[in-house]
Amino acid sequence: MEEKIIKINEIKKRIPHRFPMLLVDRILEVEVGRRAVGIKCVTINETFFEGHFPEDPIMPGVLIIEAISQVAGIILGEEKQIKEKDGDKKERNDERRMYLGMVNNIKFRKPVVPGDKMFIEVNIIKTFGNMVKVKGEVRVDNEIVAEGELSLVVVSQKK
Amino acid sequence: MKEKISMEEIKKRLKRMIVERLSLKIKPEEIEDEIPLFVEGLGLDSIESLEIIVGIEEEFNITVPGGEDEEMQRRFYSINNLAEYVKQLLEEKELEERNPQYI
Repeated sequence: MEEKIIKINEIKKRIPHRFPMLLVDRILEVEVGRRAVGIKCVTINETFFEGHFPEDPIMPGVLIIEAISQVAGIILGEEKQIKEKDGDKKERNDERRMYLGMVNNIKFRKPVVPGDKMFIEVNIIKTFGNMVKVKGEVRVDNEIVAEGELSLVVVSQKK
Repeated sequence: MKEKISMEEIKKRLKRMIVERLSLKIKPEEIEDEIPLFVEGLGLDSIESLEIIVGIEEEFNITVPGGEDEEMQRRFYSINNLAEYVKQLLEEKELEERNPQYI
């Protein structure tokens, strides 16, 4: 198993998301094409807490789904980094984007609130052509707060 | 030795799996064997094909390898084609289990 911490500046090289939609702070471990664990620290300064909800800050469930898909993006982005090192030119000129295609069996078990540190574990169920299906589990204090399956479509955009 | 699954059985299980996985608002037996699953027929799309692939892998305990787009389009054209493909994968798997040196 490959263990490697990826910090925020590296994350920004691997996925295109930026403020206020970058929802992964660090990657704790990543296995190319198989799994990754990322963390997201939730603070009261998140813009969405202003409206969701003014008196009762709860992280929107859809953003937890988004965080899962961003960690999935890291797993596939990691593959690209390795190819770059090997000097695969074709791959280097491609900018890969992932779009969410399907969401299945999502359950939100506990609200995520300011002060929570989400551990986002993503395992790839199946890669087929330009599509990938993943299983995500999000934990806070070792308790599952959300879980479910996402299907993503990988689109290469030639620069 | 394990008993071979008949084509009829494969088709039945495929239809039930597709209806359940994709939450289709039809009964499994309403899917005709020869109508196209995608676009003009049942109207499924590519992301749903991934769901069907994962469904086949779980239902029949086999691995669906990748392939050329045209080839895959033919294999996934209808229930008939898909059942043929599943049968082929089951036979390949059995051959491999009986004779690990194969391939």
